[in-house]
Amino acid sequence: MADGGLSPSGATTPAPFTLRGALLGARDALPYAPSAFVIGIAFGLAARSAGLSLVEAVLMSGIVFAGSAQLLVLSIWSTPPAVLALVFATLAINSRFLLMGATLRPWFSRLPRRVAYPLLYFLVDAGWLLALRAREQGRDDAAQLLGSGLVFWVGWVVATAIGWSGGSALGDPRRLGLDFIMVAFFAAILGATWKGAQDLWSWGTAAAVSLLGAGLLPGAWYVLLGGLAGSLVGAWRHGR
Amino acid sequence: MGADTATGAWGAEPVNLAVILAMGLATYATRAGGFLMMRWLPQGGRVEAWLKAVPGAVLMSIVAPALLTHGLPGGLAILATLLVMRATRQDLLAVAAGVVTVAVARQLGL
Repeated sequence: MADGGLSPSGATTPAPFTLRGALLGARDALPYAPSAFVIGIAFGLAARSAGLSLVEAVLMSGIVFAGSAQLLVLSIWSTPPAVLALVFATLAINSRFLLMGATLRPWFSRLPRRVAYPLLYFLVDAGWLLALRAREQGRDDAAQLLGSGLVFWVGWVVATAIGWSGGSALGDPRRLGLDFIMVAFFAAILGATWKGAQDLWSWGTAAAVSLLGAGLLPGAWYVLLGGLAGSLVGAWRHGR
Repeated sequence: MGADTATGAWGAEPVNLAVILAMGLATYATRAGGFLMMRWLPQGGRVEAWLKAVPGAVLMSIVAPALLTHGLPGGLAILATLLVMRATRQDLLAVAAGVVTVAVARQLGL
């Protein structure tokens, strides 16, 4: 079984970071770009009705580059904006990136820091999953996260501008189920990740905690809480 | 240029720009923060077992609550996705099955 390519000596070998790796990452991401595009259009539309200008909406997409956080923030946007509440909401929903970044430590610590830290700007859910999966199959090139991230970034920013300018003319994207691409992708990877009854404890904990958190807690900490609880149970079961 | 057609398209409020920058900083802090914090944890052993359990637990924590928001069409679609994934091991096929299922179920008003 692939263990993510971590040989005992692996920590000292620099990780490759090539143009070819970036192109492979971009190719992997293309089938999922429509999803980023559809959500970007929805965001652009919502940003306009919340009172943001085109420049502000596009800047937010380019700088923040996190769909669920941006949509959530619009839903609580006020004039003048309540800065602390908005930043706190952003932290809550993006706290899942903490866990994703942690899983990249054994891999990206083999890059120079001046490459690893800018590269982490391109960390998004789908790119993270695609990179972890490709690496399990032996593709160690860290630039794939840059390639997939750029595809999502361009799609996201362009779609924001289109959505702001005339998204309502495009009709309801939900009709085609395009808003569901990411959920289906995560479910497919879950199905492929299942290794048997040993995962039951970890996954059951994650499901229970995230559902409880989504139902009971304000903000959107539930992915972090479910992911943390589930993975800790997984590590604990592993040692038994 | 369209500055007159779309009112306020090209303007930007300083306070909005400040919020956008603060949101960007907060988001980057989460992206880099997990990676940075792992500097101070030992590698291997329990930590490695924990890191391996993270992807499944994070995915489950996204998918389970999403099932609630997407209702019956979402549930049927995830079932279709999992079945196709088990049968073919092709994630693109499995995703397509899920998206088609959700679209059809919504058309049927489920």
